[in-house]
Amino acid sequence: MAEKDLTKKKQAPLIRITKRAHANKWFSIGIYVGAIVIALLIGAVLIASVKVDPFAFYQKMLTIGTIGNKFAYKNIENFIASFVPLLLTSLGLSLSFKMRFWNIGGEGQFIIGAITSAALAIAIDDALSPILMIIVMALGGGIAAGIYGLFTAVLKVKFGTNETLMTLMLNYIALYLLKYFQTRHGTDFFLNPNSARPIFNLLPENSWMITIGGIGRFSLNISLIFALVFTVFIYIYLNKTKHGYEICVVGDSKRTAQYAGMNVSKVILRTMFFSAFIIGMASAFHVSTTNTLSESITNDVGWTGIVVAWLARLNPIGVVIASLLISILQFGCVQACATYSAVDSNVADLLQGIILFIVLASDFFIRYKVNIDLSYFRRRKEQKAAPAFAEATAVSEPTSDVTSDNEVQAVICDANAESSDVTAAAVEEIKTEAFEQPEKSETVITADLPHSDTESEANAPAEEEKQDSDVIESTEKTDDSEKSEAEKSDTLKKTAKKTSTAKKTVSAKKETVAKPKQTTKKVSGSSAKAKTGGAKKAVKTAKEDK
Amino acid sequence: MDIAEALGLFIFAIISYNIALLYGTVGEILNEKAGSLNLGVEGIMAVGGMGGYLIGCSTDSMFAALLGAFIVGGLCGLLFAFLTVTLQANQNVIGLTITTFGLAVYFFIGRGLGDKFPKLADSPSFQNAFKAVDMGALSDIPVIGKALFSQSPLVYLAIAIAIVAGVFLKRTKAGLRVRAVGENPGAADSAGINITAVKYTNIICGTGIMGLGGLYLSLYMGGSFEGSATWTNGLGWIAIALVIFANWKPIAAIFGTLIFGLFFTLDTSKLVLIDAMPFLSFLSKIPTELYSALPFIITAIVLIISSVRKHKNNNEPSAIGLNYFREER
Repeated sequence: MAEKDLTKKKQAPLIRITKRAHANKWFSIGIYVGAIVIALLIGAVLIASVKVDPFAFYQKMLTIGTIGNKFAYKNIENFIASFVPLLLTSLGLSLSFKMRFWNIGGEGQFIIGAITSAALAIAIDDALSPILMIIVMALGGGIAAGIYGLFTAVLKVKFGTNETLMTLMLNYIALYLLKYFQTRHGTDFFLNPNSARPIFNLLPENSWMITIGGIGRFSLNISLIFALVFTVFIYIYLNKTKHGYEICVVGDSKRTAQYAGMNVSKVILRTMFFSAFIIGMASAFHVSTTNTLSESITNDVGWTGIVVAWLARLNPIGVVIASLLISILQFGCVQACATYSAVDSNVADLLQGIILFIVLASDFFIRYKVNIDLSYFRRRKEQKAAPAFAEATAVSEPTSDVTSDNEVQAVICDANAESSDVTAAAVEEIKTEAFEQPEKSETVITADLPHSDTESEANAPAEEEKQDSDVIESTEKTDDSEKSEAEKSDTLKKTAKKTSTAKKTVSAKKETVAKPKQTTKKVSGSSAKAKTGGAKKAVKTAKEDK
Repeated sequence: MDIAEALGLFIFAIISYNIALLYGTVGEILNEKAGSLNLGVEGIMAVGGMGGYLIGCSTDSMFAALLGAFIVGGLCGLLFAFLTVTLQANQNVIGLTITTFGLAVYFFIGRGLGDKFPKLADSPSFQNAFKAVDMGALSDIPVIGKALFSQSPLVYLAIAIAIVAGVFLKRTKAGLRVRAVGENPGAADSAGINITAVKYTNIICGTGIMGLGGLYLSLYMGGSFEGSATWTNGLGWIAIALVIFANWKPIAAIFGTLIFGLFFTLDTSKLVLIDAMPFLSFLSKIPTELYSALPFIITAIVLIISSVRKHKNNNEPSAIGLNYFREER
């Protein structure tokens, strides 16, 4: 296994991935549009497979069933009612994601917010005017959800508890708490006293969402206005304030934030509370709009919000667009499926999944550049034809303590064994140097030098396949196909200097056999070997030149 | 009904319903031990189970069904691995999307096209292959006989897989490599371990096992696509909780399954127990929701305690949920 790995890694890889300095804006936008189009095309095939006309279906879906509908205003009202919670929840989630705090507890926080705001509405009843009532509900729901979120953040900060798993558990605990309130076993506080079956009671009228009458029978839910204003506020908060800056730094690197003198724990606690607070507020608005609790009060916004936040790349303005898109998909699908009953209403989830898969997959190509080196195959062929040089580097299989409980230690053991391989291989190489033809190795050096300086170490090319292809590459780089002898010897001198350091590396490697701890931090063994090998040869040729 | 009979039925029910949980848990442990937090268990179990069931019904073959469930589950795993390992996408987001996507596929195919496939009743050899076995004298032992020795072959398969996975992770060299990748991929990489290969293998095998769990559920439910919930019905999320409860050990997961199963089964069959043993009547006073929430509450407490104590035996992989990109070490 060990030998195999070494010989494998000696090859310059077929695919090499490098980071892009700047993301291409139009490329990203193109990918988003492409993802939606591909998702819709796949959806069309699926819809056609159940013998429904996809165009009619999509028309109904994308217009959220408003065209040719007498009650179109009702559709728009309902659409807004489902859009606002999603928008606010996604905003809240993106805030914590920006800090790389994986709050997947949106569901739980939403439910806790809903329970609290409903409790407040029932308890206060008509003691407050509608506007005050909604403010109290929003604050109450927000604070309750915030504390629920803070619980995870405190554990994370104090004890390093895994926040993903913790928030996941809290989601279900909240859900069953809500279900508990809908039974006769528990408190009847939320239930309808006139019904024998346990159903949630309608909330008092003062807690109902305020709407502004407008065009015709349509009336605007003021929570929409609030949500949009709030989005701008979050945008400013994230991009123009000290808090926002701290969130970004903590998200990028906690250590950097610490060195910069930020109180990382404080930032995490504050942001997580704020994140959950927004979600709780969203649920208060939702409760106030629907006027009642229900088991499916969340409408899965906690989950969908994660998708939205990610599609929007955690950008508040992007969140508005992404949540609008997903809301249209979800809400429109329900409307369209009401007409075309052959299609299952979950087709929206399907489309949403496809869009996210494509966007996240192509995200990689936005961040990184993929270089495919086609000469790989030719080199491989040549190598196959020639007897494998690497066979000389036969070494014993690393022995490690398999039964050891401590994994890290085991890794070190493995690394240790591996590094002794590297040393042995390097030594072997020095021995077998005599078999090499000097002319060939000369070309190797000229090709090798610009490379080992510019390329990342993991990709450092090894000696055997340092042949024509790489020479071409390097000469192209210097834009000088005919190198003068003087230049050559110059470079060789440089190499000679390098060799002395390389020698040190070899001796250091030998030492590491005794001190295993060092090896774990070292660059991967193969690249080290390649370097030493190349440098050794360089010494030899430099001597000859002189 | 006498006490022995009621207890026997009770223990039988604990194992027979909840064994699917073991499949999901062992699969998830294999994923997480290689550093991949796969939150798509729920969706993968649903799709894998559906795939295996439909293939089994159409071919009327047990092996085709098992293979189908494993392959369909493994394909979901391949998608997850490709997106998170090769393309470095966020594991939480991809996992959750696989869940919603998987459930949507389940509903779309199950509800939309389910009628067009052959029924379980029309596939006798497929159906009989998973009927409860009868081990003669062993099955006649009072109380535990039926529960332990007269289950569907898939129950024994689950326990076998859990034991094999436990031995693999703990006692073999390949298992050591897997753990190394989950603990510190950077160090494992310098040690010459092929991170990509280890992750891919583990994710695909793990999700394949989850698919088998889905197949078991489909047979347990009689293969009906009726009803608003999927066959898995939240079991996938409980599996993720059980991984923590079992401290990332497949063999401990067998006992964890029984403990979690105890709560669920107490809820559904408490009346039978009370009927046989009147002193248990307090069970009916405990709200149903508490039984359902208990696994999550216990897991949350376990999670907190283990992180507070930072005990040496805490098996949580250090690099869980983090993608490994060589250039960003």
